[in-house]
Amino acid sequence: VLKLYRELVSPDVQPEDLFFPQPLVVYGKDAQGQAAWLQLIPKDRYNGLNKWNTTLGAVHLTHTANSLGAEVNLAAVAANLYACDGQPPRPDLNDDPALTRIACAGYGEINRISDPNIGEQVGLQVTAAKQVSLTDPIGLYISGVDLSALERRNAAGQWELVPREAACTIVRGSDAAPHPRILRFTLAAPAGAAWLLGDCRFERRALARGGQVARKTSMVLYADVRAGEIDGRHHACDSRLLCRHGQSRGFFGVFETDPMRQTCAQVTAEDWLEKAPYNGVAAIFEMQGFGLDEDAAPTGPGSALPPPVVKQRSAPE
Amino acid sequence: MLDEPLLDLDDIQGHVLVGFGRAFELLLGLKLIDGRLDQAKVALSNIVSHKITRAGTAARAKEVRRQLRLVGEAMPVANLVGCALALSATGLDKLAGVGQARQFSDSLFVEGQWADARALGDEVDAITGTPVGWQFGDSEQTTPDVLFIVAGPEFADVEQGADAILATFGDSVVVIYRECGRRIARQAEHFGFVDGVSQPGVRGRSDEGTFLTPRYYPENDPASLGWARPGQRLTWPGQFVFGYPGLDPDAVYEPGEITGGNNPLLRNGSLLVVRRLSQDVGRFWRAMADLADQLTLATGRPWTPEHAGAMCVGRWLDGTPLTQSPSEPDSAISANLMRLNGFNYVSPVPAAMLNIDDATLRDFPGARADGNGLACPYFSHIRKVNPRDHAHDFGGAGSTLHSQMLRRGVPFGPDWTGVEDRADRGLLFMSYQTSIQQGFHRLMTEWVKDALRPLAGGIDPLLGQVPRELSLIVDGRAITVSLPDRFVRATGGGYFFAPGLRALQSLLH
Repeated sequence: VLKLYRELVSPDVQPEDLFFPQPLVVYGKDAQGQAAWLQLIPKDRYNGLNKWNTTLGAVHLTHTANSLGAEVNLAAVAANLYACDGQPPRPDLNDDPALTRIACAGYGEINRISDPNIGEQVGLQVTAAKQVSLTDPIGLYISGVDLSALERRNAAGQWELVPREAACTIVRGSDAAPHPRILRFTLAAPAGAAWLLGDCRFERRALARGGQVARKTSMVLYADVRAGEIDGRHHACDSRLLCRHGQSRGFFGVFETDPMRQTCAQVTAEDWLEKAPYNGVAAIFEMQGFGLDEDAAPTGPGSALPPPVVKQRSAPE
Repeated sequence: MLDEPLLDLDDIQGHVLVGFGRAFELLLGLKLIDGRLDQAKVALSNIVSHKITRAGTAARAKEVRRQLRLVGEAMPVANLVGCALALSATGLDKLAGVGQARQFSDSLFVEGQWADARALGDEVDAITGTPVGWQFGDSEQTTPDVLFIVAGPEFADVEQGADAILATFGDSVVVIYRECGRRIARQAEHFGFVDGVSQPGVRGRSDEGTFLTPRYYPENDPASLGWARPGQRLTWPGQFVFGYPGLDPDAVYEPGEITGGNNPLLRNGSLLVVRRLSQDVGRFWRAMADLADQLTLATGRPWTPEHAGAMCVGRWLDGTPLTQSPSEPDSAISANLMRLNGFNYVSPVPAAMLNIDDATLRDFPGARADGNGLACPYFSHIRKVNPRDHAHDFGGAGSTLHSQMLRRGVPFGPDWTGVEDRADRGLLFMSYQTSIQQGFHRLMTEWVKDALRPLAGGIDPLLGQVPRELSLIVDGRAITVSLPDRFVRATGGGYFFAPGLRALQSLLH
């Protein structure tokens, strides 16, 4: 890992930058309900949010939805048959089949943090009685980047196309057709060029942000599909309440039902506070302390560190 | 029933929301001569007052045509001429003062289509980056300041209409583009496929009790909430006309934000994309014969060029959707207004008793789905530019609806007779929307030319760049065929603004 970081980001990367030098501990209640320091992450565990993968560079994806585990889980859960399959989509969900299936199955994220296409495609295959499995090697790959509108000024002052091969280098993975599996590419002016990427424009706009390139970058995962026996049982739909936010109508919240909350009309403003986007202040979890104590790190649960001093934060305006 | 906004049909131009539905449509592109702008403004004001067709007039004419079509009667031959006008960003600045065009948040309109050509996948000069082989619009100088669209039942009508416009302007303008399109038999385009079948339904009322877009689902059918008729989704008018609620892709049944805010310049106006698309019909059908050979070889059963062409388009020549009849055209579908476009891809459309007098149309039998692309491949043109209810990389059905445009295309050039004649023929593509970025540009740059989006299968066979590898599933087997030729090329184009008539008059005074 260290070698890879040094190769991809900087030769200055040090082991302690990447691996927790001490355990990460939180102060909370242990299994017996006693207040104590609890180990969250052990010493020497890899830290995916290290500075070389966040503020100083980028080596891999960090959002939990972009992990291999999330990919496998989404594909697996989507491969079940659900009560909604083969039925018309729900009118209250935009008559949208993908949204209807996500709401029924409870996979992914109803507000579309996850790509609705993946679950829908898997569902369509199993509905057609096909077996689906992720293709080996499993990965969330870059399939390509469209640089056909990357331009720079030439010596005559005119905008000319930057040839893809001049600026784009595939560092890891392959773009070989028909199944490109790119893991990393870089975009940069060629060595020795008299221009910089910042001199370019992309789709007629000054190239100033990575997001402009990300917008033109496609991601892909591959699945093997074959005829065979499938589990033909239809799983029941998620019985929780699915409600639209009162003001932000495109935003959904999923709520457990209880005697006081049987319909969306009974969902209170306070209930909505637990869902983003927030309209106010909410306590999400009760945790009194959080730290990486290098001077007196506990060696395990039950260590006798003094309780942390909890500072009261004033609520934002 | 949802509360839908009252549309100002006396101010919105008829070509925007309704279309003219005439046999001939002439495009007249004019450059305003600096130093004679006052003369041109007087002429324009006169034309706006007396010649431009209001949406209300166009809607009444369309309703007559619709009623006649439903009872199977021939169209009345009336000498009605429809007329619309639109301004380029340069034209707007000339008439209203430098900087007016900057009021548009859509930078594509401000910069012009010629500047967008590279991103659209058009052939461009390697040095200058400007489009090659365009008859108009390949630079600011060749982009009309003012574009007129004159429509009528006879060629002579539109010629006279255009001449009258030119006479009004006198020597204050120069003609830089003049071309007459005409509808060809069966409402087809030159490759022979029935065209213009699918249009989004515009929400809104023309008066207290009348919807602009006729509703065929009875009110007690849940589909009436979101659909005008089978296959025609309803969307909010702000997607096409400034000053009205737009579409929130995540809450499609509720009015979104007012597009254009309260800007009086934009109100009741729309952005117009014009593309002159030349079609090489001989090359297309030779390519389809080659594609049929490849498919025959790959599947071991005979394919015809017509079948290969249907796979590329997504419909048979007569308009029958492949999803509903994968093996052959079906006149019971193509002759039925409701079945012709009444389908989705992922979910079947339920059967319904429609609110219509005609017994053959009333009993809609439903439509099967084709989620896995077994009948209509993912690369088919109509599936590429409108995946309907299929989710994709940017979201779901609401996101797709958000990119749909009101299309007003008309063919140009002589009929194809099956003999190579080197004639220039094709389609004058026109579309209205309030965001070129979200509509036309997004479809062209992110889906048409991308083999993997919106669904992996290949680049658009009609509009995409070459070479193309097309993937499809036949008899349960995945096969790949190639389509190396290009038979549609842009040969002109521009981005324009079709203003509301009051806003235009206020600019001119």
